[in-house]
Amino acid sequence: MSREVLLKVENLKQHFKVSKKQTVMAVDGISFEIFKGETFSLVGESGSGKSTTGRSIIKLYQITDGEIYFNNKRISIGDKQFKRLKHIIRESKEGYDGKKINELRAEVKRLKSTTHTDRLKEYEEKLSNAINTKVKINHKDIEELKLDLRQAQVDNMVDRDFRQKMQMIFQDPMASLNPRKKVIDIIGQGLVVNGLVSSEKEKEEKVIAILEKVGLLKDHLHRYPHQFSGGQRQRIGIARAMIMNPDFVIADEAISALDVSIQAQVINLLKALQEETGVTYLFIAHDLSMVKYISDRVGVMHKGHIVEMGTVEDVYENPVHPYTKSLLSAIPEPNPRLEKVRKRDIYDQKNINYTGGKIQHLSDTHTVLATDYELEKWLEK
Amino acid sequence: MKKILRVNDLRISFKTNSGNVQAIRGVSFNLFKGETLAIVGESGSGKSVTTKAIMGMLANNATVEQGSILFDGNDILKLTKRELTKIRGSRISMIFQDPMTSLNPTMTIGKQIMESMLEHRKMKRSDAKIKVIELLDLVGIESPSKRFKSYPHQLSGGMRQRVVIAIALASEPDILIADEPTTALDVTIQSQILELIKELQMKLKISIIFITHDLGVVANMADRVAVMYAGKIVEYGLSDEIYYDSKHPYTWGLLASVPDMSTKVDMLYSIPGTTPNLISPPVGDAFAYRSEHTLKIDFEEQPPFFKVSDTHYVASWLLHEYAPKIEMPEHLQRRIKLMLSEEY
Repeated sequence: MSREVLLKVENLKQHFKVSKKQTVMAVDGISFEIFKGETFSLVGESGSGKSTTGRSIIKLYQITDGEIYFNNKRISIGDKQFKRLKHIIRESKEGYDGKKINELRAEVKRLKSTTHTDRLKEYEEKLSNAINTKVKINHKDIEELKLDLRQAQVDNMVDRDFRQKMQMIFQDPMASLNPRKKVIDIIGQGLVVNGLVSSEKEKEEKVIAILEKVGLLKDHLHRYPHQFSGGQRQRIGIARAMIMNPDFVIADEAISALDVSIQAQVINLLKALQEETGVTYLFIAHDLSMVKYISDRVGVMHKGHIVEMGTVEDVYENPVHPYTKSLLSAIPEPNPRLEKVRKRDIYDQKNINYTGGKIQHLSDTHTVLATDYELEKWLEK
Repeated sequence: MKKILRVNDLRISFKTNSGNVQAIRGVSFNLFKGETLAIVGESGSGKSVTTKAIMGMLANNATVEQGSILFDGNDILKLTKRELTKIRGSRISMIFQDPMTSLNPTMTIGKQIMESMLEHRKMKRSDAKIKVIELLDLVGIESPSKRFKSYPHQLSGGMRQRVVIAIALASEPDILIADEPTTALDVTIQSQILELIKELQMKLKISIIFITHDLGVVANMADRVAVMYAGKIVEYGLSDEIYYDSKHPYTWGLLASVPDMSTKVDMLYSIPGTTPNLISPPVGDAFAYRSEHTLKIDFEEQPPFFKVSDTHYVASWLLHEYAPKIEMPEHLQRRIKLMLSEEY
């Protein structure tokens, strides 16, 4: 597997304001990378923030904080960063006199090379320093900051390339397919909207080609979604995503609504498509047994944090975090004799606070979110 | 053991615009007192229709063409509406898949449980309230007297399903029908709910019919398993017989499509094709079109039940004495061998 990074999520936060007093912190500062051609899975219970993460990546939400890079290009930048940038510019305008200005400029140059998030923080520090020591901020620096702001605004816009290269498959195929449209129009819509086909005939040819790839028939072209079974409908959803020839597909609980026997069909199809096209998957699920089978790496989410991340072997064979252990112990197996004596690990969810923990590296691939004390305690067991 | 319910050669069809769908095509089984019977099958196999018939809640376009459901010496299918109301919800209760849609969002959970109690039993309101709090405690809801006044939306999915179970148990039923009660829940919550149902069964000695499409889920619960396909039971037996020694290729397929946690495979096994259209069901074995081991007779005549043991029966021509010997797929054999060799 090549280790080229396709998607990089840095300190992503997604908060939803419910009322004046209450804000739901659905995702609260997570970072991960997804490499080209691999399948990365996010697992966790409902409300853990795994679906929100997927939706933030594909820009269904404006993110609260953090940055997301796709194909080495920034695609999202958090609201909080915008605010900070604007704040700095506003403050800077007031101006202060002094001789420290050259120092500050040199600093700004150096910061250019590091990531935006870190850079912003340091900008702020420099600014408060400048205010305290009454240094006037150079006009050029302000211009540079303004450029930064503009660049961030441009990066944050959805462009055509992004829309084609990142696709999504949803959980409920009945709810995600327009019941009044025929299969050919549902699957071909992306092509038409993006101007990738010039005639109806060309569209039809392309749709037929993709239908065959996902195991449907040419006869299905002019049927409506309700005329299909659940598994077939999910194949239509997959065809709609794959026809754009994407680099990256987010599958949000794509198999949860299907029967076990059909789940296997869909998973095998996704895997075959990956082998053929080299597409990268972000797989979001709560079913850990299917995840084990399809993924290269897994991140376990709980309450908006990634509590453990690693390769499938790391997470399934050597789980460290008690939440991961409780999830693994809950997987039902078709083995009555084992099930009758099996003990479930119960994870005490009261009084947990992940903000105190830091990301601890257990190996090159395996990380866990814990305080030093917790890590020691867990590793002892 | 005492038979508590007997379903006899049940046939049900639904009138639809495109024709008569023969959803149930001759289903017979017994439910014994205190046991858990799991009915397993894909969507469209008829498992839910069977239980709806038992509850007397078939849709308006359904016709019972043949058969009987004997409960307490009476045929449920022949009862009047009033007689049915006496049984339904009081002696036979049901829990559904989605706890949000089966609870009333405008009523506190305490009231909802009390409602079912007062409906079926004569008691004072104050006594009923005490009983409800006991029940909430029984199904594992913390500080039940406070929760009495909560609305469904204030509870998590797992808690809601506990409330639904409490409602089902409020009338102290003889039979509890659980229709995919954990499918909408997370794995951790699922295991808690399964454990709860099992625990309650031990305490209250009720009989349970558990409907699911996932054989993994019921391994812990089921005493007996019936596998349904295209409106018929194709194999039934004791839990061990189905999990470790099944004979029908469809059961093999269901078992093999549950991913194996202990070994890594390249391809997940899946049953090819989809369930047949039951508007015009196949003449012979309905599974023949999806099976790897199809015989000529499969297309001509429906297989009868062949006896494997006193408790284990299989409807497949492969068990006929003249049929070629077909063994369970090798990878499944290996897996089962591994399961049985481990000590617990």
